[in-house]
Amino acid sequence: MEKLGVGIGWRPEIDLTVEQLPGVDFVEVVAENLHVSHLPESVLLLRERGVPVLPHAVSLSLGGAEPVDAQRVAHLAALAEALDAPLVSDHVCFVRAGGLDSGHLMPLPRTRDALDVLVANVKAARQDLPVPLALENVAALLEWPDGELTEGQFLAELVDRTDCHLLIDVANLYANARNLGTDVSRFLDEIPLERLAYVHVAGGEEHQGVYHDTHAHAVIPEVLDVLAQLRARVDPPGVLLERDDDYPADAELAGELAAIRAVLG
Amino acid sequence: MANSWTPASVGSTPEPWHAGHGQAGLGQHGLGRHGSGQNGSGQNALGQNALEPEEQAFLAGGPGRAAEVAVVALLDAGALRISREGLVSGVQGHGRARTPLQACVLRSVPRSLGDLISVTADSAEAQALRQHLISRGLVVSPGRRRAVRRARQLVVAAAVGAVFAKIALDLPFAVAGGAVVGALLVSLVLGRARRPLTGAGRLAVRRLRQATVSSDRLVLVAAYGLLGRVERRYVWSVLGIEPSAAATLRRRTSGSGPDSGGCGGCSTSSSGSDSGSSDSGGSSCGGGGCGGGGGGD
Repeated sequence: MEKLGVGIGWRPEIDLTVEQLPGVDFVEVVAENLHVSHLPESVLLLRERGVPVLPHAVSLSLGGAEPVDAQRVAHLAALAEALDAPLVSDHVCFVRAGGLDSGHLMPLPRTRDALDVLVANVKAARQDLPVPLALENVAALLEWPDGELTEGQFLAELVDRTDCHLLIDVANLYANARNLGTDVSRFLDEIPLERLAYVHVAGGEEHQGVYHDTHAHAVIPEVLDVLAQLRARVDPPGVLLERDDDYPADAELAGELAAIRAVLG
Repeated sequence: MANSWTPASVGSTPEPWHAGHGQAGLGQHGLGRHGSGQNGSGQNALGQNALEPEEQAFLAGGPGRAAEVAVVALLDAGALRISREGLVSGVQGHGRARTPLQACVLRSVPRSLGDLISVTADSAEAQALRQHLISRGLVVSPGRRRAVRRARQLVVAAAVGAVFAKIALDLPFAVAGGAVVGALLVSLVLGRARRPLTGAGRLAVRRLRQATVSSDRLVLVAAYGLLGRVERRYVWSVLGIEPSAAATLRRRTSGSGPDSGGCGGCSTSSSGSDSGSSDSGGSSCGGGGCGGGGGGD
């Protein structure tokens, strides 16, 4: 996989911050928030500088029982071409069913039937995408009953059957470890790290005994510890800091990027 | 709702201006706490309490201008950030307001720069600032301005009546002419009294604008507004605001906003004359101050 370095999620509120932060090797944009025909000036400026811009989708609903929406895939494909992106990504989840949107990245039942559906949708989407697709593990507050596979096994089979890449969110992994008892070491041992495209790091907070992956708080040391465990196994092609709300001062964001670099060594 | 203008009551720390926002500009002209004309008790040569940048801005350009100063002060303090496209948002952990108008700004984000200034200019806090300036004798109250307007209308009606009387009753020309000239003179005097600022307010604006070039960003905004020009450059450009962000700014129309008292306003420039307040080096489009603002509604 192409070496990406250390990056940060580009968001309209912090566009100038992202442009000015030192050592931002790549950025990620939320695909659904951009229009191909009217890309933000800041994004175009970053592209002119040669900074890779990776579209990250949140609405393909690849784990949903319904066929993937061709228009959403087409938008992602067009964005990838407009940005000359090396890859695109979405999540291992579903976000709609029966005509209703959940507004959340809903976890999938880890059954072979659910995996078959996911694999079929991923294969269908990949046919219309001009670049590789990476899929991200989500944070969940519940596990569906009668699971047949661990999360690591589920992702490993998904990669094996679709040839997709992995986008591993260590904050989501930490959240699942805290809330659902996911074994971090086992997860990292089970996934095919050679298919790792890049890594997400984000902040969160505990509320009433439940850890929430808010993307609106500072990255906690425990999440960096998970990153360190991953780093002990593989040198990830890229690591990206996600922040989606309640943005801190530029210096604090720079500090979080520095902390990530320190873990990567 | 803000019922009074008490900067020190918001937040527990001293106002930022006490810490010094740069000493250039007004400091050379004795206006405000920056000035050499300010005495040890925080009063200027007129015996007035020193004017804060938001107060100066309100006098020079109305609530929109005061809102601009509040926004720029928060940007400079790191409490806000502005995007390339003009989206203004809060910075986590730095959201401390030093004035009621700043508190209003912080409550109103995220919002585009233009909308933020409009909302703040139309806020209860801006209205409270107006009342505060009225109570300090710097701004004429809307009631007084209405009364003067009615009196002026009566005088004009009397002059018209004198002309009709000359025709209908064949009054001596000297009587009718004297009545008309007298009415015109009274109307002229009343016209001056109808202006939005008092003499002290106009003096404050005149002194503010004597600082044609200032390294103090807040003074610059207060004097000219974000859409104003200094040395052929827009103030927003001088401050480092992106053109696409400045494009969200709108010139504030005359009479907009709550109880604007008819004070029109536009962005100001460093040259030209202020037709409303008879101050030199002022507004590019008149209005004399208190209802306008470069980036207002």
